[in-house]
Amino acid sequence: MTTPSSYSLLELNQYIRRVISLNFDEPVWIECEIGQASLSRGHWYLDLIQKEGETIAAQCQAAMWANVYAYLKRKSPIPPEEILKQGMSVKLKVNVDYHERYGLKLIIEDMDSSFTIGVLEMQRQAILRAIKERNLVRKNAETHLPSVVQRLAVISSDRAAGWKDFVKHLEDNPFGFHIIPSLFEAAMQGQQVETEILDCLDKIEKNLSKYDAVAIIRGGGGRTDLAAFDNLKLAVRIAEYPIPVLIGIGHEIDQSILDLVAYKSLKTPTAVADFVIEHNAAFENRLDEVWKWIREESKDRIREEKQKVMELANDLHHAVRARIVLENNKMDHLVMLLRQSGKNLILGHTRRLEFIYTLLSAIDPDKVLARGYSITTHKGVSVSRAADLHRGMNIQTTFRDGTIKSIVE
Amino acid sequence: MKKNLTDYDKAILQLEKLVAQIQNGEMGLEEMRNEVKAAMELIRLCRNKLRNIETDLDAVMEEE
Repeated sequence: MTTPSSYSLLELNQYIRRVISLNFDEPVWIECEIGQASLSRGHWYLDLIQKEGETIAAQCQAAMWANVYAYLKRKSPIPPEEILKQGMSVKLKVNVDYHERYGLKLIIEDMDSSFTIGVLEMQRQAILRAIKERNLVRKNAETHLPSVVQRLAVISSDRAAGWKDFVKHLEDNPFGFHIIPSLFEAAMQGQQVETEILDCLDKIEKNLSKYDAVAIIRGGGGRTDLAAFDNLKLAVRIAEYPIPVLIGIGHEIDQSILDLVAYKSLKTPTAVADFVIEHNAAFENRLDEVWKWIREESKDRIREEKQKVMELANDLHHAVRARIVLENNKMDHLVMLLRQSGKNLILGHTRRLEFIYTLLSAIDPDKVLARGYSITTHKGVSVSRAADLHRGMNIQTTFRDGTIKSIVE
Repeated sequence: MKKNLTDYDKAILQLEKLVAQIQNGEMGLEEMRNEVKAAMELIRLCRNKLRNIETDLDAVMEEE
């Protein structure tokens, strides 16, 4: 057989098909990344890629038929649809299929979900180490959450059920608190999570004074959905964010890296809403307690002051009474002194009078005559010396019982 | 914190001083008569003030 000088395209493709069939007569395991994934009528169509740095070094289309998908769904510990997503690392058992018209395609026969989980976990552990080395664990919890949280910047998707539940939960709060959530839209799954959430955080930071806290929320998701939140750039941004960031990204079992750095990590959006409502309610309770304390204290104070004024009035009354009594006593004493001194004065005078009387009595002429003495007078003048008398003088001598006249010889 | 004395506080201090002066006998009787008259007026004002404060506080607290 002679070699033709050229092949038809069909002949070439048939040749390629034979070569491939001969070399890949059995399925092989490959490790790659999913570039794109879509589901159509039960079949999955994937773009598989391998990157070197940021460049795609290899690319190939692949398909997973509905029967294989159903088989994987039964045997895999996590649903295959959680793995069949853009950006996921996968280990697939593929048949290399070549069709003359449709070209090369890998037909997926099996998938090792533990490989994907392992890769994710390794990535997660690497980020976790970086977070710990940079002391970012619970770093955002050092920010101050205002006593009353009213203005919430919410990063979510308005299509997410979690956002609607969150808003309704806040509106229906039993205390009637007015809490205003402002939505900043971002992808909540897939590769856009990082850039869109970072954009939202930038926008919020430009108007930081308008918000009390940030909440990043989304409804429930699978285990691998959470992988987008195991992101170092996001973790660093949230850890160092100037106001509290609350996380409610809807997962029950695992923690994402963001949960480790945020102010508070909660399982669901409604749990975040409950946290905010209870935080505000706690403040209201504290206010009630302070109010009760003020009321009791002011009543006590008024009572004390009334007592004080009453005691002062009593003290004043007693002081005045005591002073009046004292002054009365002084007055009584003075009166007594006056009386006493009056009496003494009178007694003195009386004594003096009596003394004078005694003196006078001693020289009373009648009393002298009565004692046997006589009084001689010359011309009415008392004669006390014999030398005063001369011969021939007429004198008069008075006795107790009468008077005689005589002439001096 | 520096405490500014209110009229009420000043009145209480004045009354306490007056009682002490009377008790210590530091005041003449005529002066005491005038001072006690003024003190009784002060006590009346203090009582009124306390009554007014209490009424106001009761009213405010009733609102809650």
